[in-house]
Amino acid sequence: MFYDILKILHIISASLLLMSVIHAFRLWLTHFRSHQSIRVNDAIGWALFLPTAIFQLASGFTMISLKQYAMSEFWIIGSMSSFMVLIISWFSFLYLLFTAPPKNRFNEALQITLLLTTGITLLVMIFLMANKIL
Amino acid sequence: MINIIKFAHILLALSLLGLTTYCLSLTNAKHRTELVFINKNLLIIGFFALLTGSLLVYPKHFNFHTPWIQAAYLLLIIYGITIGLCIKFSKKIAQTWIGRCIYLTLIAILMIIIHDAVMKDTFLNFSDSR
Repeated sequence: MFYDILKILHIISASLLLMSVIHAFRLWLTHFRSHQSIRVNDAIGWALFLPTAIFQLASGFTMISLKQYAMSEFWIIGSMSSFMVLIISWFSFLYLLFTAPPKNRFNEALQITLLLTTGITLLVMIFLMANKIL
Repeated sequence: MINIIKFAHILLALSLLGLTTYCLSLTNAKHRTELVFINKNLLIIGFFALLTGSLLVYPKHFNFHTPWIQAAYLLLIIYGITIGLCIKFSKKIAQTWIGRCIYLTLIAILMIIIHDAVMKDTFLNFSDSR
């Protein structure tokens, strides 16, 4: 029962995490098209990002221990590595989004790379967790 | 192949809930165009979630008479109709508190579907009350 409740909360927090990714992407798109600087009060992505990311990690580890999966299983190693890459790339992306000066070619290219990395690792992570295979 | 369908289904379900929550944060007249655009996308995502879900029924050893699957179909149809109405009456919805209530209801519907899928049981179990 506790496992099932945790799984539901894990899914809901994953969707909130996805929502803050969408929000950050929308902010970036506005920034990219108009070269306007982003206001701090637009930063709901920051507010949602940290608690949901921490909850994802905590609930994920709790579920792994409740089901007594071996930490050496490929899907667990893969998911955790993807999660770390995702957090680092997204955190860097958000940092650049709020601090980088507009009309800087290098920063824009870096932001695109980080956003792509975030997207790809997110897909890999969901694939591994959904199927528990490989 | 089933792994890919399951992956797509989960991704679509997460997107549905994430975007509906995002719509809740956009319910005001300023974001009406964006809201309509997202609502149209929600309809497409909802359709594909339904399709991928249907493709998973037999491979996952369920059938279409399973109560929680029937409930999920019904709830998703209600969700789709509500989104359709949101698009049609977007002007009225964007300017009032009704919009927020509607999106909160839609989020609740999606949460019930997620609950049923995880528990493999219906949230609103009327058969027990008899």
